[in-house]
Amino acid sequence: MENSTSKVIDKNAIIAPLHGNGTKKKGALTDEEIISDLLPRKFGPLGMIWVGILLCFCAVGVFAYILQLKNGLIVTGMRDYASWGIYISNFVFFVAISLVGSLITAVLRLTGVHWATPLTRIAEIIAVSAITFAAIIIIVDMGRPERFYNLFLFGRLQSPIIWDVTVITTYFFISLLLLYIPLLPDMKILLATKEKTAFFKLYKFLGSFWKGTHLQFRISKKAINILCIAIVPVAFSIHTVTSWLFATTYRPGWDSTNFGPYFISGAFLVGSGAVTVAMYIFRKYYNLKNYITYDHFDKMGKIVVMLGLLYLYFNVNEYLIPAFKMKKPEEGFLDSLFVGDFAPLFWSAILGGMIIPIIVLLFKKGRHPFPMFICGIMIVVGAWFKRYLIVTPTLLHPFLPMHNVPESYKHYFPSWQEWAIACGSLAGALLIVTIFARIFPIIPIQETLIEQHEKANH
Amino acid sequence: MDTNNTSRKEFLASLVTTGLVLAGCSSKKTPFETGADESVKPTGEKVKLLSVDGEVIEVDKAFLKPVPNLPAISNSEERKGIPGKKFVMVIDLSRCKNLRKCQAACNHMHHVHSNLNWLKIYPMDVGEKTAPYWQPTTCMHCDEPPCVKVCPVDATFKRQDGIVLIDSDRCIGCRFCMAACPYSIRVFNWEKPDTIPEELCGQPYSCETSVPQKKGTVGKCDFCPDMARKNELPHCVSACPNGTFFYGDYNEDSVTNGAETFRLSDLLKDKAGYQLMPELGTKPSVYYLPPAARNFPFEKGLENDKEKI
Amino acid sequence: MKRQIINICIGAIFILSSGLSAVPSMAQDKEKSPLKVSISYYTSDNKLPYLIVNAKAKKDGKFQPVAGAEIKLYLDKDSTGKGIGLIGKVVTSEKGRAGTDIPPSLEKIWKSNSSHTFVAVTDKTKDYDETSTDITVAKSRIIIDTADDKNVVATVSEFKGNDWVPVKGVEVKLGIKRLCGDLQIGEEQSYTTDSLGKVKGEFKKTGIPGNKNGDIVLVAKVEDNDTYGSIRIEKTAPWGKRFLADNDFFTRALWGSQFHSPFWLVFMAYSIVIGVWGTIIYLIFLILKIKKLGKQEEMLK
Repeated sequence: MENSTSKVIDKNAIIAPLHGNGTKKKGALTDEEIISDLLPRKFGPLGMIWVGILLCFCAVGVFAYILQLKNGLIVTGMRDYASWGIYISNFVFFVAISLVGSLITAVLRLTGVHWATPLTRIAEIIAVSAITFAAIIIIVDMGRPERFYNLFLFGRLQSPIIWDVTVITTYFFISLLLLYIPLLPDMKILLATKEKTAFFKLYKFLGSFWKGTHLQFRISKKAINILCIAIVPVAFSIHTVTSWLFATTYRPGWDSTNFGPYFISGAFLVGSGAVTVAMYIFRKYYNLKNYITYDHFDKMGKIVVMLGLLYLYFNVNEYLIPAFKMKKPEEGFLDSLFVGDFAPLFWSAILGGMIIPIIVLLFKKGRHPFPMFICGIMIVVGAWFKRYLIVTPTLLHPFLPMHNVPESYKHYFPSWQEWAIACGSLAGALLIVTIFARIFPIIPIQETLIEQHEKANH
Repeated sequence: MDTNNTSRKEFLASLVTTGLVLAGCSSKKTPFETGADESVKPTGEKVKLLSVDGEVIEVDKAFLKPVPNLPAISNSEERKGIPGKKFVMVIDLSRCKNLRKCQAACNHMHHVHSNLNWLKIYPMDVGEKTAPYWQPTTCMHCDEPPCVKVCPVDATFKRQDGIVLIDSDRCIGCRFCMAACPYSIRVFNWEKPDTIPEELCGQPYSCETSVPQKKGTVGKCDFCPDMARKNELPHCVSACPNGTFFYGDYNEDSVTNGAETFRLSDLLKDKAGYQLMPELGTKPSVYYLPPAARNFPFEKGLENDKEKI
Repeated sequence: MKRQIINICIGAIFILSSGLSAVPSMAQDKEKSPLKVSISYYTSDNKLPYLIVNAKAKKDGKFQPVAGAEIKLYLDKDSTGKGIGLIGKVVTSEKGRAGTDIPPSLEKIWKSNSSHTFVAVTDKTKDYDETSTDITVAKSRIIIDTADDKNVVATVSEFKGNDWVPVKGVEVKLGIKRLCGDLQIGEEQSYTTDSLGKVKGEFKKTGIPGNKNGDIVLVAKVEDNDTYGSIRIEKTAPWGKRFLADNDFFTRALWGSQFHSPFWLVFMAYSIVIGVWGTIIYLIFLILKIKKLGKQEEMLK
């Protein structure tokens, strides 16, 4: 991918809105360099393979879903007791990971943290793609997906599912706006490239009206500020409401007032883990070493440690307190997690998904890109299994004994169709991110330019 | 025609359940409208019948209810329920020996998938040193139903007669209600029920009979309001040879298992009736009588239980 | 309907033991399990007599109801034991049951005697041999009345010669009509008629809910009597507690329907949704403003 970068830029067209024209300090990058570095590029062979693999996963997932549509949910491993399985844990995972959009963009923007600028768009596209697939996977989980419209015809305001549908829709649109508005100035840069790419019409449709006037900048800045404020409560809502899908029931392990913050802290952790992974990959394959620096990884690492500790704190609350009391209904559930069937998975998720990354990232060397990348993957994978551990063990420990059902109803292991659909949805989310990075600059060009100029003027 | 001390109207209405078929407990009016004579309107069409005195009498057709073909009740009626009723059940644990006749009858009449049971009989072993007992469990038809609270589309609903039903034509199959129900009584049709006869498949779904069950929707015990409309007992109640189940109307303060009828308040008082998990605040409509002075030893029931306990 | 099944079992035993039964398949046919048909005679309010037949057969070692059995019912029989007046042909339900009234066309036969025999005949089918069962009942009536101090009085009489004659020694149950069953009025399960054909029972279920006027329906019944079948009569008495139906069932609650959400929830949900979506709409408006500015800029150029 690295050799398909040089593009001829109409310099004046881009620099016009900026204050200082081409002021250059030693070691700093020129505007042309920045722009040519950050423009989207065609897929190289590796990119092609990557997209091909993702497409294959998606195709298998779609095939499995067609089977499920035809035969019903019988093709899954779910049965009456474990009536929710990896579809729902995958849904919770997607909702969790999408929360990152608000963290990086909104929280850091509002607190005036400038170093995060190159990460904002990565975070936002992860948010949009994850929330899209959260919505898709919830439809996959439905026994009667063709009746989805009933939610609008007969929606009951009392049901947390309706709240979830509402906040997810809202969050999707807000995330889309937060992705789109900061993209406008970049659109102008994209349109200014001499080489007419296949997406030229798309750029024109989306952003030809951006002229970069002061008034336009002022309005867009205002809009971004409003968005950053608005997205925080909405993002909190999506995950709190998702946690309420569980916490509004009586089940051991779910019946917890702690669930909202527990889920949100977990979401922050997995989201920042995902951003770390994305940072590493984009840095490496898009050759963005000058834009996503060691410094970024270092700072991001510290944030991950903080979020990891926060999540760990909530985990201690979530498990220690019930274990202290060992109420009868909770007993079997906690036993299965601590020493029973789910114990290997549970301790791996706690150690691998939280404690080990936290320890590694406490060290300066641990916050270098590669260890960060590994830790990020551990956090994300650990988080995925953690969601599974939140959903399934509880359902397999009902108040009344599991009885008068076939033996297969007393256990849960996902069928290949479930794995295929879950993997397909993950691949789909990654595909959206990949394609987005192919079409649009994954690091905001305009904002990077402004920042470079500000740095230069200091 | 001799009207004795009953009015002609009352007499005519009595035909409702002399009703050609199945008149176990005949009634003066429709079983439900105690004192509401207006509920049955004459059609003017007369039917001739022979009386005990050997006289041929004419009866308005409206008062003859051909039981097997009750007029279909609209979905909105099914959602409202029967006014003035509050159906309850009492399960006497001392009488259960896990015969599972109730389960078989229920599954058969509702064409429940062969893997599923709406009525489950648990071997309850609450404490280490306490005696185990068999506990048949139906839907509790809670007055604060957690399942209804969470349903996103009004597919499961609570009626004024206390019954919680499912509209399988509306259910989207999200299974939130199953997660919400602490009694785990809800089952899901993971595939098309294998027990439905062909001719029933095309029949429109009725919330009151819960037939036919549909793929991808939730099913559960429905307290057989269709039977109650016919003044008959639910299938599980009439199937139990030991008379474990009592069914009745809280507003009438009475429950019956067919052979015996008790005043509900007396029964609950004398036998120390209780509800399942009342601490959850679900306010169940099903009461249990403790397994004191048992009719059968617990081990008797193990014969029917091949599952590991 | 368990009571009925029990009754019918008793009836069946009686029929068999009294030798009236003429079930031909009693001759041991290994392949064909014999079909057992039993007849019960009912009257209600001394008006309409009707018959209920039950068909069952042994399957897996147990008696199970036989559905779809075609049974012909006759009123009275001739000297050869054949039925005379055809009452009707019925087909048993899933529960093995079927019922019928007695048609007006049999008025003559019905009036001719004070005691009648009902004959149920089934033809030979693929699964079962032909059967013939009968019961004999005497015409009877029951009268219910209320006496002072909340007493219920019932009188049972038989039609003999041309008059109603009280009968002694008949077991009568007194109850209050409830859903699917009758609740006994006092402690005694049943009462036996004296020489005047009367029973008297004290109503002890004080405070039992009645209808909105406090009326309850008292029941006097003779169940599965060998001679009289099942006869039953009802009478309304104002001895119950007034029952007023709770009309506020469909109030706003968390478990209510989509149109019955609690006000606080409606208020909160809509204010949040309006607030957030108002912001989104405002942001879209800002984008349109940017767009308009861009267009103006283009025009200027």
